[in-house]
Amino acid sequence: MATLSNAHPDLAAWDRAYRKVALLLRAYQVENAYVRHELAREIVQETLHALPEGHEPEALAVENLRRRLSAWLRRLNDATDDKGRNGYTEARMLTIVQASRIVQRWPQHFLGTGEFEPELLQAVREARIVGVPNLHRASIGVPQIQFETVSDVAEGTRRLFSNSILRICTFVAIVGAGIATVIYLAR
Amino acid sequence: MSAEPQSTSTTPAGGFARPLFFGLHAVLTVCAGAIYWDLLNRAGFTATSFLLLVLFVILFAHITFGFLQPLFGLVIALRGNDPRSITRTVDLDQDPATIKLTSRTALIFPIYNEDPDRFFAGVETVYRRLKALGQIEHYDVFVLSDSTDADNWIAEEIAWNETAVRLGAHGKLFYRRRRNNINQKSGNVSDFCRRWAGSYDYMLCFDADSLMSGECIVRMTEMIERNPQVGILQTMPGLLNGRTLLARLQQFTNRVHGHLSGAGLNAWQQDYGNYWGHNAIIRLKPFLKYCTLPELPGVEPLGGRVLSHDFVEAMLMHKAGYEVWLAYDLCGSYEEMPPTLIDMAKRDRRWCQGNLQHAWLVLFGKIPYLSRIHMVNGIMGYISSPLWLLFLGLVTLATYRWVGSDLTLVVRDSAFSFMPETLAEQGLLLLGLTAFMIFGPKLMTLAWLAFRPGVARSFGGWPRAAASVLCEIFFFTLIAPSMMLFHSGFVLTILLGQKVKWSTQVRDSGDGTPWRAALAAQGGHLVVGLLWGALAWTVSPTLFWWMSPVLLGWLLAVPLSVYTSRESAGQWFRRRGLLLTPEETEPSPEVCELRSLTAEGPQMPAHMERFEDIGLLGVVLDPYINALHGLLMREKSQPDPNVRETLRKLEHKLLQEGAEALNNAEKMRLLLDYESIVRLHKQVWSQPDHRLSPWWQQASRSYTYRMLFHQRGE
Repeated sequence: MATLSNAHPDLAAWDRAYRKVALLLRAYQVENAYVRHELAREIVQETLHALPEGHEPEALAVENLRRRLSAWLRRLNDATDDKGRNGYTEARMLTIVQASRIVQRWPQHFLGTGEFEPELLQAVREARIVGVPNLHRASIGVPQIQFETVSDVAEGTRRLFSNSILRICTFVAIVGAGIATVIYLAR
Repeated sequence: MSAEPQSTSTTPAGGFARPLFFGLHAVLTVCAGAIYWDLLNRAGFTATSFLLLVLFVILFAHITFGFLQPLFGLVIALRGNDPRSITRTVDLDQDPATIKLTSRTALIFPIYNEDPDRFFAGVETVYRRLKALGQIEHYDVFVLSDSTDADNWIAEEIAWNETAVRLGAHGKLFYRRRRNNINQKSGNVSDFCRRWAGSYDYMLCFDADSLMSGECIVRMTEMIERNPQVGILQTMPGLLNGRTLLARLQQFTNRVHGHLSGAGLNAWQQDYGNYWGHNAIIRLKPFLKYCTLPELPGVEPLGGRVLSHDFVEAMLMHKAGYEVWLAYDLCGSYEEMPPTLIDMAKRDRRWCQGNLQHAWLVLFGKIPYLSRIHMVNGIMGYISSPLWLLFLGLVTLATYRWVGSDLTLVVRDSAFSFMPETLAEQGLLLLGLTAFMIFGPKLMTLAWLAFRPGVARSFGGWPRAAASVLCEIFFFTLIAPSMMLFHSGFVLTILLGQKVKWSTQVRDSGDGTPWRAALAAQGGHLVVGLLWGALAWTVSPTLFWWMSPVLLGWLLAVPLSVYTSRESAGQWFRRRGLLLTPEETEPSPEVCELRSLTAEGPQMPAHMERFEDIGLLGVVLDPYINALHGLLMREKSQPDPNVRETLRKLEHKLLQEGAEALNNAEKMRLLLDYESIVRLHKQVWSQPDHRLSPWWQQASRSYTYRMLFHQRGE
């Protein structure tokens, strides 16, 4: 195997890199095992050729996958060129890819560089992710019930009773009056 | 469309039912009051007698209200074709799919940390039913989240996206989460109104556990379109999906007695109906213009912001000249209920505070008198408990005084010639009258079912329905004394200034109430029962036996709480054909659909369920969840360098120590920052596994397993 002949001496590290990339591809819902293996192998191989000294193969392979994904999403966005999409963001495009099940329906196109199938582009165009609609603000009226006088009295009373000693005294007086009433009635 | 009401009404309000209802109410209350006054007078009228008479009249007036409503309902139901029903304004025989609607309605579903699976099953069912009718074009669905729990938030986002994708409803089914949930549910709805109400004619409010059929929604929309002076149209939600014994008791009571009560309620309120906060359609223009909630004088618990906003909004609608109707005979409106006695008490604690706040409006607000009656009824629902308790206390005290005096009671002649000679017989007459007011509605329901075998069949047939009513009477008679103590405690603590916290209503009982929890919550009831029982026996064994139903309820409070919280007990009754409801015997398509959507899938192995931070885990590990969460953020990142520094520290802590090291507020801060979640996602995936902290290694394994499990499930 040509790849292994100039491979990193730590094969275990490359094994970890492959597993990580394959796992991340699974997280992107590449369920087809063959496609997943081919993509992971390709990405790890690319990383291996350009591995700078002292770098972790795992981190670089994941970075490589991300770079390819960004480029693929941008290309997909340009190919569909939807004016109503409210600007391009990677997050929006990725959510559209998931909503239109592109990876499950056209796994061979995922992260590829070839032309997109017309049905795939149509599916992307039809998918919309709208959290909330555009604002259509309405003004809300003023409260119809006012309590000015009562409110002042209530607020004054509340302030008066915010004094803890007064509150305790009042509570003791009420309880005392209750007990006195019961004793009186029971006589 | 104008925000002013039309001068001519198209609704069927009028007739003599309202004056007859209040006239009868007054006559019955005065008669019972006179009999009790006579009884007290014959034994010698004292200061205690005066207090007892005042309490009796207030309490009797309250239970008479509850008696007359089903009585009027029975007459209407037996006569058929209610002339005062709002549903007369539309053709109920018309196929709802052919109804031509001209308006746009927002269906709003507020959510606050409730189970997202059950919640979105409800949303999906409603959407599917409207789509099946071909009427979905007239509706948009808004999920209005106020959730504060990190996991719930993320689970809602995922469930919303999956539901919208499954239904092809992106652009029709929206999700919005508020950053600051000020003013709780009413604030949540106000926020919707400010932002999007301008696009709609009406809004139909749901609760997190609500369900409505497509037919019901379309007919409600048609009714409010046809009657421009109707501001709010409320339906009567039937309770469903109860599994514990208590839940099944509640849903049976609601379904079997609901129709007569609803018809009677509508007979007197008509165009002055009430709003119950959900399962109702609201005309938006007057709602925005006139229904802004007032700030009550003082501070919470009795002042400040209005908690039970629905009653106040209905009152404001009346004040503005609009009508509020109850479509009591419209089928297809449902909600769920608390599964245990303790959960029911917790819910009542919130409602109690909200209803007591209405005292401000009743006493000092310039409001229509029928709105005042609604509010007084709401207040009496809770105040009656301490009043009953006081009444029992005074009866004990009066008996003690009489027994302790060692005097022979010289009975005076009655002021009424038809009255029995002895005091005991007169007391029994009064007791019989009171019992008839309380249990009479049950007999009315059984009479109605006897005349309507088709309806009785949906409750398992007349004999089973009758047996179920007996079960219901037995259990609720025993539960009532406990609820009386709960409510009395709530009223007292609220008057002493204790506020209620906004909490999620529990709808799933789990394994039922543990003995320890029941003892902690209701041990006091047992103590009260023992002490009062001993006191009553010491004072007079006759008093003890008179009070025995109440004493028994207190003594059995704890075992009753535990037993009624169990699903096995609920199922025992169901297997015997007892406490059946139409939703169990003849479930409608929407109920079947909801049940199939909430049916549990394959269970994860127990050892994989240990991660409580599944929301945060999903955002950090899953690229799609990460992207979706980022997409739904309105403010993408924090520009303040100090805030950024704090967030960096939190990210570091999360990576080093795992999610368990962060509290909910810290997790929420990270989840609210776009930069942080993107960076965390990159860092966790780029790190070699052996450099990840043990928590993240375990989390990654769990995530992988979940991913495989989920894909296998698909």
